Amino acid sequence: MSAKKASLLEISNLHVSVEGTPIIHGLDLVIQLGEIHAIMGRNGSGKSTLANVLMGHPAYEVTDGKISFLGQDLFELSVDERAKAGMFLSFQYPMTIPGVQVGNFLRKSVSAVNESKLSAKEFRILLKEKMNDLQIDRSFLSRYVNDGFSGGEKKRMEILQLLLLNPKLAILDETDSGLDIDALRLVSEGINVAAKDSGCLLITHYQRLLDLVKPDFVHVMIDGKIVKTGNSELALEVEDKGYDWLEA
Amino acid sequence: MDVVAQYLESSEPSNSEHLWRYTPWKRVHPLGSFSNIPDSVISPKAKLSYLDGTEVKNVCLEKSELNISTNKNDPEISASFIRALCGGVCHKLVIPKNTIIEQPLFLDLNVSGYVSAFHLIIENMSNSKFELITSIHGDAEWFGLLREGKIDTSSNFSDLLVNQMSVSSTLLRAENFILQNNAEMNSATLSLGGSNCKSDLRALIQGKGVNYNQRIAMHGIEKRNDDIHLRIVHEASNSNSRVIAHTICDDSSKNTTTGKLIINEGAQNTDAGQKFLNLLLSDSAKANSIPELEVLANEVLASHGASSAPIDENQLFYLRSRGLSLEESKAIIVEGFLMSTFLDFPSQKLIEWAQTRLLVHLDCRLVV
Repeated sequence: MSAKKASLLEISNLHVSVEGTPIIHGLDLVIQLGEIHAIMGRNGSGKSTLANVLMGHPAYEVTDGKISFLGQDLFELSVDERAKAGMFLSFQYPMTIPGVQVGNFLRKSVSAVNESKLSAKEFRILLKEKMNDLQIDRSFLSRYVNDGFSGGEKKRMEILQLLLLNPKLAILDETDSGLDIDALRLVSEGINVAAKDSGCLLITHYQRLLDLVKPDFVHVMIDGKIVKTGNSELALEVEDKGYDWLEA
Repeated sequence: MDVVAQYLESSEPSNSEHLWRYTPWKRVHPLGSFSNIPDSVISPKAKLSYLDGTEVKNVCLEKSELNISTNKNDPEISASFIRALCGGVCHKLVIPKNTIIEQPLFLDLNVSGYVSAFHLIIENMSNSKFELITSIHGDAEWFGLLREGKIDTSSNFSDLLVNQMSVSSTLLRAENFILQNNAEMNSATLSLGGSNCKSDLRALIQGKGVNYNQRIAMHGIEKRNDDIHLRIVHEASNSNSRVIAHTICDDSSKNTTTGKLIINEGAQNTDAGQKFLNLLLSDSAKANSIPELEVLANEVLASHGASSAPIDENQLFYLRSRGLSLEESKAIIVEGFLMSTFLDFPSQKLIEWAQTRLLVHLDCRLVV
């Protein structure tokens, strides 16, 4: 008899509004350690809202429901406390921070999340290894965070952070958008490495990412609710038939 | 005419003047009264060295009697007041012809006492090149700094001035540089210290093919008032000038940046621009940015822009999602905003020094 997997994330009856407009209407989702979940849905269905709510964006108001992360009430944690507890969001549109060099930013971030358990030398070794894995040039480190980066560079920067921070739950919001096939392959390898001993919530429009990162569960979101859950076959079905057939 | 008489012969500037509208002369004067000249003025401890503290060869800081020869771009009242305080004594830094100084020079100005003043004349002779870091620190109640100079034909001057005076100090800074044919001056200011700072910075572009580049980063905290006025006059053709000023306004601080760009008739094919950006961190902080253009030539490119905004919530969210606390995230945005003032500044050694000072300043603020 196999041991029961530890519960990583439990969302029950989640309701979310933005500036008074309800976006998510009663969403339930459970992710266990080691599972990869994919959420698909049309634009405006609430996928990115869910990602932002999980990370704690102040613009999103949770009007009802509960979320627990590793047994803790998520709403009691600030954004940075969520990061330190092991949550990571790869942004759909990563922010530019002018004047802040990538190298310094990564060092500060890793130091904050690991509470300075990594020495400067250990950090350099780790950084070099992960940059090599993602085929990122060293000159990247002296550039300003996401300033003047191409779409693909921004996404690689997000995955570099994912690999460095080694979270327990990675939420990837359309990480595949704007990537050419080679970059997608590299990024997918990074996601697979990161997801090995943790959990992963992939938000995507496209089957092509799910060919490279195999999800355990696929959920379809329509109008702020998960309307259907299945395995990777469901993603193929959506790719083939669209979303109309899933509407009530 | 002596320097005191010259000052007293002028009249108190009116608050209606662009330059004195936001911080009137009364607020800048150490005694608050136009005709009073403090009788006890302490000269700062001034030391010129290389950055590692070793002695500079070939050039020195030479104390000399002042031979007054003001020009039409003179910073008038500020300059004549500081000349009067210095009693007709100045310090000269002369870089001889065809001299290239590879390492940055470091001028340490330790200011103390109730009133302190320093007059520096820089002569960058033709085909010479040097970099200068000026650090102003100490606990003087009031400090006046006048820097004048000539950047001669085909010479190159890179300049960083960092104000780290104590939190209660007042700084009056006046500058007037004249640039000759094909001269290049890259000037950077990091304004962190003092509670009341007024600067009147002027450049007269007399030669053709000049590049004049002025970058100013200011950090307003508590009740700090930082008022900076820039006046750039283009007299010759085919020259460029750029001003970029980035200001952080926190707590109940106040910043004023006024710029006057004058492109005279003979200055055809000038390319000049001014950009003032303010980041407001508090509802009580104020920022005034007033760029002005006066263009008399036909074939020119001239631009100006100003904007003020609070910290972007999405930037904060991004940084906090990477484990940085709210205060750490704000500090990193502040650091980045101020350091981005110096993007593409030609002298990296100067900017690295500025960044180190800025980080110490911000760390102290975080600890507090």
